[in-house]
Amino acid sequence: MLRRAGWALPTTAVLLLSSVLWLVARNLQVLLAPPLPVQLHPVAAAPTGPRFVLLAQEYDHPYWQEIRRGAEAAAAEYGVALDYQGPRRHNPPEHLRLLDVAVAAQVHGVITPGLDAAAYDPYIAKAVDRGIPVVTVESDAPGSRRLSYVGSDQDAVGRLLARAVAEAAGGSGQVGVLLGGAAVPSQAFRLEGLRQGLAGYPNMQVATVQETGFSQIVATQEAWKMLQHYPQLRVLVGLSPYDAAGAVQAVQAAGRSGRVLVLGLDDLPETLAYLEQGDVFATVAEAPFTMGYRAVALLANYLRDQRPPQVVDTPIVLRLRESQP
Amino acid sequence: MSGRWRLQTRLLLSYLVVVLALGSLAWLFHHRTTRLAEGYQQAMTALLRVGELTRGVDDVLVALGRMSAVSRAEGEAGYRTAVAHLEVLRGQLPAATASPAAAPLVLDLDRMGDSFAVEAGAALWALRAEDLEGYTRHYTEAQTIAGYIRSTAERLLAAELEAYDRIYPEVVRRDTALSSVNLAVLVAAVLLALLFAWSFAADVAAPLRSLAGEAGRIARGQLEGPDVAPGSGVELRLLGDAFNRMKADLRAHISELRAKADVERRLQAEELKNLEVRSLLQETELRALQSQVNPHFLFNTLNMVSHTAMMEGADQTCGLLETVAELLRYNLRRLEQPVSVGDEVAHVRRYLTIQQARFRDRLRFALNLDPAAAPLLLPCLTLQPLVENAVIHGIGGREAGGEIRLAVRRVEDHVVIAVQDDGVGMPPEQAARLLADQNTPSAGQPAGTGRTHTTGLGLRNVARRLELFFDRRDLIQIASRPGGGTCVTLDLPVREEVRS
Repeated sequence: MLRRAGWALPTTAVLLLSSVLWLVARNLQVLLAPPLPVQLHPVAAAPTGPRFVLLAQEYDHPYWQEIRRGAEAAAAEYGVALDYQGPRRHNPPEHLRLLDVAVAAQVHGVITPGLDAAAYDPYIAKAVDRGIPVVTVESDAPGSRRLSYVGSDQDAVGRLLARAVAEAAGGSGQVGVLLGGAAVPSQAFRLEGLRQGLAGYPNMQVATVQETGFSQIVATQEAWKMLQHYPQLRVLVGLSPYDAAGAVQAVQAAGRSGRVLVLGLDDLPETLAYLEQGDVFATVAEAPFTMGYRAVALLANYLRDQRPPQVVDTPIVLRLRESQP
Repeated sequence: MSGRWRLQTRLLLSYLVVVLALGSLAWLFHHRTTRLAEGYQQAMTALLRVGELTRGVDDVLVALGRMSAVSRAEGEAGYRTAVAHLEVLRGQLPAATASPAAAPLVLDLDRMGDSFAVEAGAALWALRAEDLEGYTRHYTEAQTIAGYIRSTAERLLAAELEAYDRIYPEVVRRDTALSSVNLAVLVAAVLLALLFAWSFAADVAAPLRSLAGEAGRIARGQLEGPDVAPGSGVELRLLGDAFNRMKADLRAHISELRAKADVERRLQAEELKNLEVRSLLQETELRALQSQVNPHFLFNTLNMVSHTAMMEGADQTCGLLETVAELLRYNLRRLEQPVSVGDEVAHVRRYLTIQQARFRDRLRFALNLDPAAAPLLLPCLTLQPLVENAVIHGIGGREAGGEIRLAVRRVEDHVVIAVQDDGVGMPPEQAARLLADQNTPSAGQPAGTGRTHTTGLGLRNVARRLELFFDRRDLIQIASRPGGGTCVTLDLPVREEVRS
């Protein structure tokens, strides 16, 4: 036994040590890593360069997320910091508050839609007084001291849509219009453009205009009501995103697919799917990415003492359906 | 492998390994705990600072609000203190955040703090300028911004807490991993320590036990056991080797001793045998002699011969034969019995009678015996050898022969006996040697003397027996001159007298 003990000890010791070493090696990363795996983000490195803030109409809205992507792309290129904020739901007072907060935080530039002509002017003035330039995007605040407007020519959008409506209806018929909010300048311009466009078609009438509050559910409800109230309704037009999708749902629920044409003003995936299927006749797509991008670029250049244009028109595209439902 | 190391080295290494393992474990644990605590403290500090900022802002608002109520000086002092404190707090805002969303918020807070300070300053100026409306306006704006600061701070705190909440499972996971590693290392270290201790004890104790057992066996005399197995460790090896060597040496020595004892025994046996043989031979010799010198046989023979001589008319021969018989009778008596001087002298006369019959005119003899000395006892056959020496050595070699005088006279309590011859004499040194060598076996036998000429009892024998009898030494004197004869004198104390 003595002889065997002579071998047992080193063997067992080696086994023990190697198993411990294996354990240590396996957990080495954990062992050496800081016990508090906090990845610290330095505040100072948050660039001391210009800070812009993009105030979306609705934080999670895909349209505004697209604008955000464009803006962030430009921010990366121009070496500026971009902060993205916005209320969860369309809420002009909250939106204004965010604007005021950004001004108090002394950002170097604000990109915001003008959601209410009267209310926004004093806040934009306050910002400009403190040396913070404001660029409106997607929806202008024309009476304010904003630096520039980057977005679609809403009037042109309305007119384009009117031509599409006339074509869809064959020149005559009743039209039901859904829009997000009449107070929003861009919506107002679109509506005006649409009316003006349809004025050239005497047999076409705008039968009713209803606000949806930028909510798809409300759009469906309003569309349904329209369909009930106006059995002759030929065309449903949505002037804000989600309106077209909501209208299609109402039409399908009412069983009047194919008899009522739906036109929209966005290129959301849902709308595009309906377009594919033919439930939506046409939609005017804007270029939100470009809007975001051009807005940031404009501000950045302004800070480098370049004179900005008053208006930057972003492209609009009319997309027609390819097949019948 | 472990046999080549010193026990000390092995022990030290074992301790070192275990101590290192446990020590690094303890250090690792401590280090991690410290870092964890530091991390949390940093986080807490950052968040606390943010909270302090909102409170600082509120303090300024309060000071601003009070300014319209209290005196100008007091209000402004309070305001300045609050604003200064706010500036300090702005500088202490955290430099880094845990969540990416919170980093720009910190910047916002800082800027908002600045905006707030601007508005508050404007309100103060308005108050100084007595512009109440302006004061109210700026105060309201400062309030609004304070609200923004609060809400931003809340957002920041929420973002940070969420970030920490997200990493918490990871913290727990890492801690668990560390704990399990700790436990494993601890268990391993403990097992290792136990193993070391057990192995060490086994490697040391077992050899010692076997050594002790073997020593016990050796003490009981069993030297033929197997050698002790070498232990591990240099020291134990030395011990084992030394032990085995000792045992082997012991065995060798013992067998050597046995061999020697054997040889000695054999030698002794041989010697004893030789002695016995010699004594037997001597006995045989003696017996042979005695058988030859059987007194009865001798006397019968002499009687017969004497008778025959008488019958043949040879009176002289008959007389000589009777003298020889008397002489021989005297010689064959019990020699240990002392005799009187008279008897001894008579024996000497008989001897001389026979010698005179041989030497005739060449031997002349004169006797002077003091009757008072006659009864003195002395050992048997002490005078005759002296006279015999005188005859053989003193006169026997001379062609002319010589005269021997024997004088015995009593001097008070001494008897002085003188045997004098006028023979060849001897050198004084020879006389001295004879006297000096009285006690040595070969003394008294002058060189060249064959045994056949004498009765065999030399001067040594006589002197020794006289010494033993009278218990005195220096009883014999020899006076001699080469060519001037020899005189041997005996001075004997009177010890006993025979009762006549």
